[in-house]
Formats: sequence, C-alpha cells, structure tokens
Amino acid sequence: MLENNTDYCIANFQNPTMGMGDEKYNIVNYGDVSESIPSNIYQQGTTIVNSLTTPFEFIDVLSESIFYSITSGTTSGVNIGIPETSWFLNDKTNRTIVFPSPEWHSLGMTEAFSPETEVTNIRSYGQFIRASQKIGRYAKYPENWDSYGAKVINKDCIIMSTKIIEQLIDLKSSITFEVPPPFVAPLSTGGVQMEWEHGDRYLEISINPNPLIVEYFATDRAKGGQLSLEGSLQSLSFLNELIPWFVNGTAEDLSYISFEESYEKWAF
Amino acid sequence: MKIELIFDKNELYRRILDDWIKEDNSLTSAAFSNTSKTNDMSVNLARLTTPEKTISEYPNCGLASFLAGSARKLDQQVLHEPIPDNIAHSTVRGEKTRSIRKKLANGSTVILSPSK
Repeated sequence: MLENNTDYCIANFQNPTMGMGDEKYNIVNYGDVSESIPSNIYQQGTTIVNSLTTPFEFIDVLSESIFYSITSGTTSGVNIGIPETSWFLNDKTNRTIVFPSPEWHSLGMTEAFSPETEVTNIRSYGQFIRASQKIGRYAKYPENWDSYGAKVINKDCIIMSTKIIEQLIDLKSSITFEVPPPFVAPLSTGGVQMEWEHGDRYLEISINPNPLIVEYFATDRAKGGQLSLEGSLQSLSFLNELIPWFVNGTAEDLSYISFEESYEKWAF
Repeated sequence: MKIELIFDKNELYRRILDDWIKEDNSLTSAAFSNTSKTNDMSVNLARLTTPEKTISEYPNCGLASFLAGSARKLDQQVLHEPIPDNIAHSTVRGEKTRSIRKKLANGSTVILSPSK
C-alpha cells in the first residue's frame, strides 16, 4: 500500500525480474530514494493503481486531456494504458506521479537497472526525477502564487521543462561525464527556470510562455573579465552544446559555442 | 503620504518562496523579476517596516534583503512609492536582464526562511 503525502514516480524502467518485452510498469518509491532503497522497489502498474486510495486522474499534459479518471476510492481491477509522452498527475493529496516518456527506457536505463548497479543509478537519476516532480507540482500553483501578482504556470512551459529533463537524462546516458541535475524554479511570468552553478560558472535555461520560448544565459569569469552568452534555443539539441560547456568547458569556450547548425524547431 | 529618500545604505525587503532557495541558502534569480508587463519590482523599505510585518499576510513567504545601493549599481532606480496599506512599499525600477537578476540574487541574503 502506498502511503499518503509521499511522492512517487511510476517509471517505465524495465523490471529485471521480468522477461524482455514485458510492458508492465514499475514503481520507484521516490520519497525513499535519497535515504534507503526498499528491498523490492518493483511493482506492477496495476498494483500501484489498485493501491491508491484517493480519487485522481491521469492527465495527458500534451493534449491536456484526461486519459484515465478514477473518481472513487475503489480502483480494483484498473488497467492503465502506456503513455507515449511524458505525463504527470497531481492527486487530491498532492502526490505527484510522473510518467517519463518511453525514450527513458534507453540502453542506459536498462543498464542502470541491472541488479548490480540499480541502487547507485536510482539515486543518480532520482535527482532528475525529483526536478521533474517539482515542475509537475507548479501546475497547481494559483494566480499570485508569489504574492507579487505571478501568473499561473503555463502548461506548455511545464511540458517543455519535462522534455528538457528527459533530454538531460538522454545526454547523461550518452556521454562519459556526469551531467549535474538542474535547480528548477517557477517564474512569475508563468514560466520555469533551470539553473546550474559552480563557482563563477553559471548556466540558466528559462522557459517562458506566450509565445513559448526557451532562452539561455551562460556566464563565466575569464582572465579578461566576465564572459556571457545569451539567446534563444531553437531546439533541445542545443543543450548538447551548453551542458558539456558547463561541465567541462572554460570561460573562453563560450566564444566557440556555435548554434549555427540547422536543428528541427520545437514541435507542439 | 510622505515620500522618503532612499539612501544606498538602506536595506530593501523582497518576499521569497521556498522554491527560490537553493541548497546552499542562496537565491535563484527567478526571485527578482519585474511585475508582469512593467519595469517595476516591488520591495519594502526596511526602515519603515519589519521583516515580520512584510510577510504577515503571506504565510508561505520568507524574506530576502539587499541594499538599495547594490540595485542602483545595476542601473536600477530605487523609489519610495507608498501604497494605502503599505507605507514601506518601494519600487526597484528598470529592465531586469538575466544578468541583472542574477546579480540581484547574488547580492541578497535570506533573512527569514519560508515555512514549508
């Protein structure tokens, strides 16, 4: 049975105890990730749903439609469909359940959940999942949530932010250095901001609404003074330039970051 | 209402949320945005109020402080603009570029943590 007022992540990580091709979902009890890993973290998706005790809805944040609504406290026998994109929901006890996209089920994630390495990697990926959960919770913030007239956090910004988290996880799976998880924060404009900071080096990604725009601000101290670079991102692929710069680059490398290639535009 | 002069050494209060505080107790630049469609960011002039009074009607908020002089160094105007219910209300007026917001964050200190 799941406990109330705890955050959970239902993830499509492959359960190493099941055979290949098994599409059952597993659960990571996220609230325990940073402290102790339960001996059996894997449960079937249906078991998870059956164990929820409060009404809730699964919401497709991309189309803004409800794909499964549970209106009573009885959820016995429910079968949930497998979403194709990222999902999240907030139930009436303020739990957030995040559905990462199937893309998360990459080679890296399969490796991550091999029995030998699962605990270390759950902790590592858990920081990204935690960021994604925080972003999901912003959807519930009311008008004027900052006491200075802030706007409701825009759903497109939440979706885009979740995509960026996924992109970071993909990047983490494909490169040899450690991708640090971002600090995430809501913006009074109704947007979402992500930040990385180490010493004088600072990278900021802000996702703002109306129209949806993703902007970056990178700055570092060089011998000749502070160097900064800012602009708008044309696609998530640009993160593959910025994150490696933040992790391994020098201030002077900012001058060499090039976004001249023709990437696909945002798809919405 | 009497308009007060704000000196560079005067402290300003800005309400903050738990979402804006990093693990090392520093603040994100997201806490220093202008009010939508304006060039203004509201603050309270510390010498005309108290930290507790500034957050009294906002139970989820904490408080950050910074000096008027540090904002002026970033090409911001700092003006006392009292409103009916808040004689300490002041405005940090000017465009808040990402660089300026970051510098305002770096120059601020959390003096009251938000309740979680």
